[in-house]
Parts: sequence; structure tokens; C-alpha cells
Amino acid sequence: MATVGTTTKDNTAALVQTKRKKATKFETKLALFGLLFASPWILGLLMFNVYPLLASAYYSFTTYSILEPGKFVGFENYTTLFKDDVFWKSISNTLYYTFIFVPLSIVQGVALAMLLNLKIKGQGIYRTLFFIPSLVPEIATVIIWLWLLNPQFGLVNFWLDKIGISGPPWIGSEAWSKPSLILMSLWGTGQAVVIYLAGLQDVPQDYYDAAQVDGANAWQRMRTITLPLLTPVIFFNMIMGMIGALQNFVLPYTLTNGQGTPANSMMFYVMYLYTNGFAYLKMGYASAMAWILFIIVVALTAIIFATQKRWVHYQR
Amino acid sequence: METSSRLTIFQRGFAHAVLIIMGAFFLSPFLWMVSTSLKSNAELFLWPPKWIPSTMVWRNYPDAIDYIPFFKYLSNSLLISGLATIAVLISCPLVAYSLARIPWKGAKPLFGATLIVMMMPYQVTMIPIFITFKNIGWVGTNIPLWLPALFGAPFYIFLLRQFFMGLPKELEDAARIDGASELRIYSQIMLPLCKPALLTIALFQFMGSWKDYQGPLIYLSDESQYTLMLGMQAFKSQHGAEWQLMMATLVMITLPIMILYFLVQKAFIRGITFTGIK
Amino acid sequence: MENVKMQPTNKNKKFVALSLTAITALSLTLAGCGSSNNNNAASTDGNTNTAKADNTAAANNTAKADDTAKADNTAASDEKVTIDFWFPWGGDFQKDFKKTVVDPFEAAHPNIKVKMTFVETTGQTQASDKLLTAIAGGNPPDVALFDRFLIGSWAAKGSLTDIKGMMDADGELKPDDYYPGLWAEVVYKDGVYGLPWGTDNRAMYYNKTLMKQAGLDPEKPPTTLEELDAMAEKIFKKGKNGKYDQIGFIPWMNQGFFYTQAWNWGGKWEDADHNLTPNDPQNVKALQWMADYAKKYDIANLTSFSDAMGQTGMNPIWSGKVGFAFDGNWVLNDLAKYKPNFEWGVAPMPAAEGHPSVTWVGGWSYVIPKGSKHEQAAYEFLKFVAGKEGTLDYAKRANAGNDITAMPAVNDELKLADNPNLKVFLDLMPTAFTRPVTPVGSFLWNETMRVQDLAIHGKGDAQALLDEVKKNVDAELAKVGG
Repeated sequence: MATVGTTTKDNTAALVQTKRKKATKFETKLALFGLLFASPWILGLLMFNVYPLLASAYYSFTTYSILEPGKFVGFENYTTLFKDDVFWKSISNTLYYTFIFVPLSIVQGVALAMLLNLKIKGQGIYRTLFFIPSLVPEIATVIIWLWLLNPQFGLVNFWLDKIGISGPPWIGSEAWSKPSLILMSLWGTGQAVVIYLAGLQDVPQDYYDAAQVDGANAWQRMRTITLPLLTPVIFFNMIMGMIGALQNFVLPYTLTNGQGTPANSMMFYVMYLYTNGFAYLKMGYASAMAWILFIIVVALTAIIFATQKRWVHYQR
Repeated sequence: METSSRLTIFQRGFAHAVLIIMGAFFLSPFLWMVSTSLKSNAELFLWPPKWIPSTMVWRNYPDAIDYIPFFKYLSNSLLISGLATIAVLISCPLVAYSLARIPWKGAKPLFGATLIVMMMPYQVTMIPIFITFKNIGWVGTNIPLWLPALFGAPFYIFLLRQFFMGLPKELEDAARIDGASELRIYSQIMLPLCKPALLTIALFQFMGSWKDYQGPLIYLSDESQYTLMLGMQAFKSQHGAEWQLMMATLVMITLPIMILYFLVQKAFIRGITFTGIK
Repeated sequence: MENVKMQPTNKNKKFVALSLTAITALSLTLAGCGSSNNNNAASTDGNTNTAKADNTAAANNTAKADDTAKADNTAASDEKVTIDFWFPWGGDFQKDFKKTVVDPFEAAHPNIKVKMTFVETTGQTQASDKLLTAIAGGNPPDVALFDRFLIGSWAAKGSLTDIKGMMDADGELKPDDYYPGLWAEVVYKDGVYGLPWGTDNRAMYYNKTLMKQAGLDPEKPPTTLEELDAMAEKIFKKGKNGKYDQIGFIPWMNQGFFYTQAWNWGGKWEDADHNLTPNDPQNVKALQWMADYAKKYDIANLTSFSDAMGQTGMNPIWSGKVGFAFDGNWVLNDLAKYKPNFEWGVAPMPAAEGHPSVTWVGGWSYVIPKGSKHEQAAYEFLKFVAGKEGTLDYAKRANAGNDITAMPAVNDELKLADNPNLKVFLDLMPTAFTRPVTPVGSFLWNETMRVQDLAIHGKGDAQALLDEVKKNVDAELAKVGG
């Protein structure tokens, strides 16, 4: 607010006032436009995110089944869940998958992206080659790998045989089913590679030039320039990859026809959620699972966020 | 971008070697799919496995097309993917422009909300959204598979916002002082500049819808509306043993999207930018 | 932009935390108002005793159904309708069924068209998640081919249409057209929720050629489980890569579910008062026996074999690599396709020492899912398919002749007993068990499958697992209010 100054300053004050009015008018107009342009998303947030989030919280306290209205049961769904063996099994399977797959996919993605960023012959061919698998739909991935990993006439066991190892039954065995799944998932990480590649191309060339002048070799350049500058992208992909891994559904669902065999080793969290919701119509139970998943995601994300100060470097 | 002059012969050789070994891991499953799609029934279960069929059975391809209503499923998939792609191209750039280039109070909190939603698993909202669509009477139609995209998608809004942020700040100021309307600035200055990013999100969304399985699984019940993915899975359980036809179908499902990618790959990578991430 | 860096991240973090607390707080307040909300939900969702898929649609439907039931059929037959029919069987079923049943039906009812859709089964039961989702979504097919023993569970959920009214109104079909045990499976409380179609039971297929090679008398198949164990052991053979080339017997292969084996061991699934008895002492022995097989012959190796078989899409019995297998009479229909180059036979399943050989019957039915838009036309189709004409036409299709239909009169007409292999199954019919008719039938089935899977993978002891099943089904039963 303009304070009332001395008479000499009155004029200027008035001027400032009018200017400010104009400015606020302009600002109001801008704010209106900002709101207008963002309105589809504000609606989308309310309709497809906030409302469903609250609704599923409400359902999670009921025995709603769509066909029957159900009744309010307080925390019963949650207490039943905590006593449900399959629920715990699905959590441990999902975390196992997440904690092994995500780091592996980061290592593989970054390594590949760096190699694909070098100026060598045939780079265009290499790039498309590594992206092909991620263009293969998951349904197809499952069918192909069912063949490759078939214990008796699959290619993988054939190769193992050649070097004198008797291959395991892969998808059919409890110990090997999840590693098989991780292998399949790693095959389809081309999209992450592309994002890393995009990140690498954002690294300014003069950094490298300066390092070159200082006499840094390729390895040192990678450690001191490339990796640090890629950390924001790694950070982003880590969070997105983790959320994706926690939602692992299509591969195990189609591989085991929704059963999670053998011995529930392929029963993943979202699969169990889907089964409860859409195979048993226990919508309340499934909603409780959905909320617990949300809390797990928030917790893990918060942990990753808390560590970012230590290792994520933002370009200035 | 590292240039080759900086690499020794040894380093280059090493890079090639690693790329070729990794490339084999990435390519062989795909090649196996192509090889199986050209086999006769007799050669499917051979031990040792055979890479090159003794006779190429090209007939598997027309047979596969006759085996499932391939073109019906294909057009359903194209329709849904196309609609969803158009929908995000309409909604997301608008929102991203508002978040990145219009100085208004709501931009920051809204972007924060976008980031949170980006981290929210789809399954958390899946059931209430299903129930809502059921009450409207849209379960069993393809509307739920593309309509939400008209209201924006957090990941694409995020990507586009990053891209808008990277553009020089003075672009719209001059136009604003000249009294050009925001709509004009947006459509005549901004949109043309962010073509690569638009292409990126279009490709992401198209591939996402094309490969989506859970959505159609829940919403589509009438077989005449099945997408390729849903039809493929049904085909797998209905004709469990016709592997060569299945593989032929898979090759045909994968090819269109590969061709699409080859055409746009350079621009696709250009459209993703992390300068000024958060 | 270069000035958006570390600081905003902190702000973002704060913002994330803030909005989360806000959301949690909000949801808790909402939950607090839950009870009042709930009354609303109950009153808007219609009355509680009949679950309605969709208020308006359901209301219309009942109104329509009442009308058509009251009015004569001419009103209905004026309009042309297309009914959606979902079936879960792959292979040649669609072709055969269309030719022998759907075409004649459409010829007899020019106003009704039948659209056939394959919808795969998921999970361990023979039902499809998609069917339930479609019913819940208010968009179901008009008719479904449906595993009969699930009717109780699905009717209890309110997901099937009661056809008793339509049946009484037209008076063509009577309960005693079907075998009594089969009819019992389609009845829930006072309603009728489907029509039985086809029945089957289980026996042992044995490979005489492999028996001969192992030095056994091929004309003396095992009659007790002990004999079976001893003979099977002689047939197991490993190849040079350590994997099985030949299998003597895998208890859980094909139709040898834990359900089957429990009866073979003289166990039971319900007592005289219809209490469920999954942890009967003999059931425990059966599960233990299955787990012992898995241990003795190495579950990983057995899985390798069956997975490889699964990939070829051929029933392991016809591969000639399996000594003994328990399977149903429908497997005989495969003979038209595969011409096995070995000698084989069929005999009743062996039972534990001191118990008689038994079997159990399953079978299918046609149901009208809740929320069908064309109940009357759907019922016309049901009546035709599961009535005498449809039943007979389908059983007489080419390349078959091994079906046991649900109608005694039709079976007499088909002269099934003239087929020596089928006769083995037919002779078992009078003493065959059926699975308990209960609203938790499908849950019990899933539970037995779950513990079977755990037991053969060495996860838990048979007694403890089955005690847990008992606890779970009783809890579920209490929920359903059976």
C-alpha cells in the first residue's frame, strides 16, 4: 500500500497508484487466462484424481460390491488384510521385484545411453535396435519369453545346455519365476534409455571441451561430467521406475493367467488387488489395498526425495 | 555429445563389442518371434531349436489374419489410440503453457499437485472411476479409454512444461505488450515452437494406448470392440497351440509401431528435456 | 529455466507433505461422516435384498421381464433381437456348436440372432473375471456357458437371473428331465439360476505300451493307490540332460486336483449336516501324499515336464510319455484329432487301501447373467440349448460321441453304453460324488487349489494348511450368511 507522503510526493504517489492499478488489471487478466488454460486439468484433477481418491477411501471402510451396496465396517477391511497371508506374500513379491529390477534397469539404462551417445559408426542402427523391445506389447513379450524360457525346448536352456548347465524350469519354479520376470522387464526398458539419452544430449559440449583441455581421459570425463549432470534424470527415472514396478501387473497376470503360480511366487500386489476387486467384487477390500499401495508409494518416494540432496546435481 | 576424435581405437572397439553383445540380448527374442512366425507346425518343437525354418511358411500371415478378426481389432486399437492421442494434444499443451509461461499465483501449487498425481498409482483411482463410468452407463464402450485424456495427463503436462521452460523468456513479453491475446500467443508463437515435445507426448500416448491391457480388460466386454491386445490374449487361450499364427499376429502388431518410431525417432528424443527440472 | 533449482524442490517437498496431510485429513473427516453417507448409499442403491446392477436398467428389466412373462410370446417375437452368448472353450467348440445348435435355433426363431463370443477363463475356477466385471458394469452378455458348481456362489452374489418364473410360465422343461444331483446344483434358495448341460466324470487313463516296457502286465492296471505308486515308479525315466523323458504319474496333473485325490483317499468335503469338512483326516492324508510325490520326484523337474507339455497344447496323455493320468471322459473326443501310436486303456481311478474306487461329476450349465437386456429371448435360447433338442444335436456332432448329457432320456437315445471306453465312466455315474452345493463353493475350490499349490512346493504342512482352509471357508460362509 502506498503510504500518504508529503505533498511534494503526492503527484508521484498518484502516478504510482495508477500504474499499479494498470499492473493489477494486467495481472488479473493474466491470472484469468492462466486459470482458463489450466481449467481442463483442474477439472481432470478433481474428477479423475481427487474425487476417486476420496471415494476409494470411503469404499475401503465398506463391504461395497457394486452388485450389493454393502455396509459400513470401519477398519475391518484393513484388519482382515493384515491377517491375509496372500496380501503379505504379494507385498514381499512386489518389493523383491521393485528393489532388484529398478537398480538393474538404472544401471543398464545409463550404461546403454552412454554407449548410444558416443559418435561411432552405425549409431542410428544401434539406437533403434535397443528401442525395438519396448515397442513390443507386454502381451507379446509374455508369449515370446514363454518360448525362450520353456524348460525343455526353449532357447535359453538350450544355450545353457551347450555350456553344460542344466537349466531350471524358469517360470514354473518358485525360485526362478521372479528372476525370469525381471529378465523380461529388463528387455523392455528402451523407453528409459531414450529418456537418459535425451538427458545426455542436454549436457553442454563446452564442459567436455574444458575437460579435454585439462587433460581428463574418457573415464574421468564420464565420472566428473556426464554422471553428475545425469543425476536429475536418474532421479526422475528412479521415481517413475519405482512407481511402475510397484504396479507390475500385465506380465505376471498374463503369464500365470491371473493365478500367480507357482506357490504364489508370482502374485503381485496389483494382481491381488485386481483379483479382489474384479474377480470377487470385493470393492471395499480392494480399495483398502489401493490406499495401502498409495501410502507405500508416498513413503518410498519420500525416502528417495530425502536422499536427493546427497547425490542429485542440478545444472546452474 | 562426445565426439569420436576423443576416443581411442581401443575404446571404440570396446564400445562396439559391448553394444553388439547387449544388442544380441535385445534383438534375439524379436528374431525368434519372426522365425517362429514362419515355421510349419512340424518344426515348432524341435530340439535343438531351429533358427531358420527349412521352408518359409509365408502363408501363416494371411492365415493369422483370417484366424482372428485382425482388421476389426486393428481399427479398434487405432481408433482408441488415435482419440486418446488427439485428446492429450488438445489438453496438455494448454495446461503446460499456463504452468510455464503465464505468471499467475495458481501455477506453482497446481504444478505441485501435478507432480503428486504423477506419482499416484493408477489402481488407487481405478475402482471409483470404474463405478462412475458404470453409473453413467459407459462400461462396455471405449469412451472411458480416451475421454479422461481430454482433461490432461500429469506426465505429459510435466514434460511439456519442462520444454516450455527451456524456451527464451522474452518470447511472449513483446507480444503481450503489443496487446496480443494469450490465445494468439499460444497458438501462433508457442505451439509451433514446441513441435518436438508435442511429437514426443503424442508418441508416448499412442504407444501407451496401443499397448494398454488393463483398461480394455476392465471396460470392454463386447468382442466386436476388442483391441488387438485383448484379442491377442483371447486368441492365446482359445487357440493355445497355434503358435506360428500367434507369432505372425505379434509381428503384425509390433510392426506398425516400429515404423512409426523409425519415422520420428530424432524429434522424439529432442522433445524430452530436463533442463531446469523442478 | 535456470533459476528453478534446489530451493523450489524444498518447497515442493513441503507442498507434497502439506497436500498429503490435507488429503488424509479430508478423507478421515469423510470417513467420519461415513455412517450417514452409508444410509444414503443404501437408499439410493435400491433395496438390499435384491442386488441391482443398475437402478434404472434393473427396474426396466424387471418390468420388461414381468410384462413378457405375463403377455404371450407374440409381443416379444415381433422385434428382432441379437443375444450375446459367451463361452469359455477354445478349439473347435465355436464351429461345432454354431453348426449343430445355433443355426437350427436361429432357423426356428427367425427373430433371434445369436452372437458367440469367446471369453477366456481366469484363475483356477472355470469362470471369467470379465464376466463378473461385465455384470458389475451393467453390461453383461445375455447367456453364458457356465461351470455349474459355481451357480450357488454367483447367485448368492446376486449376479445371475432367476429363471424359475419363466420356466413355470411356459411349462416345457421340468426338473426331472435332468439327473437329480445335477438339478440340485442349479438351485439356490428358492430360485433356479441356470439349466444343466452335460456332465462328466473322472477315471484313469493308462499307457499299456509304457507298462510293457517297464516290465509290468499291461492288462492289470493298478487298483489301489499303493499299487499305482509302485508301478509309476518303474515308468519314470530321465534323459541325459537330467530332465524327465517319461513320467509315471503326477497326482495333480490333468483332473487330479486335490478335490479328486481327497475322495480317492476316502476323504469327504461335507458331512451329513452339510458342514464343510476340508480338513477331514483322509483329506489331510491325500494332500500329504501329493506333497510326497513332489518331494520324491523333484517338483522343479516335474514342472519342467508339464510346462513343456503345456506349450505344445497337447494333452500329455496322448504324447505317449505318461504312464498313468486321471482325466475326464471328454478326453476321448481328442481321439478324432490325435491318432495315438501306442496302446492305452481306461479304468476306474485306484483308491486308497480299503476304500472303493470312486469318482465325481462336474459339468456345465447355461445361465442368464443379471442385467441381461433380452431375458425372454435369452430364455428361449437356454430352453433350446439345454433342452432335449439342443442337447441331442450337440452330442451327435461329428468327431465326438463321448459326451454324457445331463438328460437321462437323451443318454438312452444315444446308446452310450455301446462305447466300451465310455462305459467305464458310465458305470461310475450312479455312485459318483458331486461337489458340495454351497454359496462358498467357488471360494472352497480356490482355497483347495491354493493349498495344493503350496503343499506340492513344500510350503507348509498338510494338516495346518487344511485347518486354515476350514477356518477361511467358515468365515466366508458366515459373511455370506449361508
